[in-house]
Amino acid sequence: MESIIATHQLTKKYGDFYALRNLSLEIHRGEVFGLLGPNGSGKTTTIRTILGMIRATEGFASVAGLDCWNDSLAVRERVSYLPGELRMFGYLSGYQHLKFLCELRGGAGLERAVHIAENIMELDLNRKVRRYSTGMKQKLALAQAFADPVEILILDEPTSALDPSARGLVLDLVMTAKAQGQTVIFSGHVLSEVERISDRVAIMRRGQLMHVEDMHSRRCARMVLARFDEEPPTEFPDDLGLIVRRRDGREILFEHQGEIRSLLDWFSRQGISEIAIGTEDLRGLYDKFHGPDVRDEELAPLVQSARS
Amino acid sequence: MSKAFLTLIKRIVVETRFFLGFSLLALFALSWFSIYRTSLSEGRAETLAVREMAQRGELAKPAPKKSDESKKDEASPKAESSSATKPEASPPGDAVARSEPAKDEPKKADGEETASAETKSAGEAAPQPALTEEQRRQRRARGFYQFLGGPDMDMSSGAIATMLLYFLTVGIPIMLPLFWGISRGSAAVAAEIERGTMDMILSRPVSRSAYLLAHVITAVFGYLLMVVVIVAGAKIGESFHSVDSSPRMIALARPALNVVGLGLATYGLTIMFSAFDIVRWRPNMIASILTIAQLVGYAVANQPETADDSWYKVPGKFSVFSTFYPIEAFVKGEYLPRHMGALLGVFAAGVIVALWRFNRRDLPANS
Repeated sequence: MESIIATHQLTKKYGDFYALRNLSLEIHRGEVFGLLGPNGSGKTTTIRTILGMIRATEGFASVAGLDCWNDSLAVRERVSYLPGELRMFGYLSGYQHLKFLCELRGGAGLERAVHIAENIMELDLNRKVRRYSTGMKQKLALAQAFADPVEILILDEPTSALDPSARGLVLDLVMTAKAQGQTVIFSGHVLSEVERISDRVAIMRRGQLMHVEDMHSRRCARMVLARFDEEPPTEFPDDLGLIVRRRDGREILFEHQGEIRSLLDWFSRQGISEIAIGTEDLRGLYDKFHGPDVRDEELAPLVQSARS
Repeated sequence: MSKAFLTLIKRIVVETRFFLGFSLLALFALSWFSIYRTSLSEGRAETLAVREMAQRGELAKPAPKKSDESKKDEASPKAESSSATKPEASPPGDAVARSEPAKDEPKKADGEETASAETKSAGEAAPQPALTEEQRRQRRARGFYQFLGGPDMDMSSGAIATMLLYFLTVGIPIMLPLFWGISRGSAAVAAEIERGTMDMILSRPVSRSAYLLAHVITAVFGYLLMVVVIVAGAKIGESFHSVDSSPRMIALARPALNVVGLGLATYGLTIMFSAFDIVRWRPNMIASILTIAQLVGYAVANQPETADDSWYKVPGKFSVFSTFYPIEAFVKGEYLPRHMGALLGVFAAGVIVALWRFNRRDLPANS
């Protein structure tokens, strides 16, 4: 697939502190790309570097072949950004605010922004922004972001201040944007939301890229928990596509991708007392990198693997 | 100019409308007031009496002849109060002129002139008989009463009245452009980052240079309006209060330009500090301290008793106030291009450094 955003060995240092370290990433045109990681993991620094607000210490980032620092203006013509922490001009009305931001883009998108704000987000645009609640401000900013006629949407924690129904609306708008061919970077902390809409997900930790997961493959994968009557075998036939995720006495948790019928046939011949089949949510993957017992030295090989 | 650029300018104007509106109104009123005050001085009996005393040589130092230039000066907002020590700009009839120094006396700081006027007024008076304690007490009480604005307060004489006039017609018109410069300079970058609205603007296709220049243009626009209202205040005031000699428009514009030049220089320094910072208070504080330090340095350097080769003269060389000569600009005009060149040079240097820095700096998260 054609990549629209690329970073290569992107590094940002503040004194001795690495906000980003050797981040190499490609985001494909038209995909929804999830960025996951705890606070301080480098998600926002990555986004701000892409927008040309931060200059990389080493490496580079590009959007549609344009250098994010030197061609920042051209990059921002292609990108709409929703900041993680919203600050607005309180003395403007909702409508004036949308108009102001649209005029900074030459006036494009105002009609659509008003439509989304009034009809989808149900905002009163005649009210002063200072009288909006935090969630209403977030909705106003989202209306603006989704209305911009751009190729790329970067949404930094877009649902953080929203009620559950508004969150659903936002996810629907993301899917609409994707259907229209826009590329979306969706940074967030709510794993279920990221899981639901993303084509791929990157997990970051302490400024480093730990893992990139293809969510389509993941959705096809299933978790199988089997309890054997006797001591289970240590090796399994390759053609079954079984990967042992956890072994606990006679109980084994498998990850499985492939034909389910042959798997069930095989299990029926093994003397299984119990079997449970389900899917694994993103939490399991996330906890591999951010679980309470995870140590940096254990993750070093994974970082190397993610880079390669 | 692009639509985005005009939108930015419009936004800044809307944000600053109250501050700018108040400043313009105050400058207009004070300019008008200076004409009114001049008109009063020219007609009052005390003025005529002092003029006659001067002609009879009864004053310690005679006032110079009334020239065309001094006539112009009487109509100036700055000239009237500062004319006490300016040989070429002294209104001969006004009581303030009693403190006129010799023509060869070195030029002094504006702020110092008033104090000098006060001292000299006392020093030049005829020998006083010794006062009783009761007389002294009554005099102190009367002085205090006058200070509060009592009915027998005499605006044509007395140090307090002179101080008040000086403050109204020179102090505030200087302060307002300085406040405007410091306020707008710090608002350009640091305050926007602190408020968190920079992200919203610069995530749109707006170049950093355009963003900063929109701020600069708005500040300069404010300064131009200040020149206009100062001139307009005097001219309109003149149609209500007649003065002996009506100053020409250009003569009124010169001191106003010199005042806003000083403001522009302060703006240039402030925006430079602002471009490096992420909080507003710091460039505000640095610019304020620097401005006060320059004023103090200028005052120290221009003490009349200070020798030309004294170290005390050095601070004056680094002070933008050394280029501040509204009276000379008003009366002669010849100082203005040189002084304005220096002031605009400081302004331009500040803006260039600010542009250089702002285009290279990181914008912190949630800015």
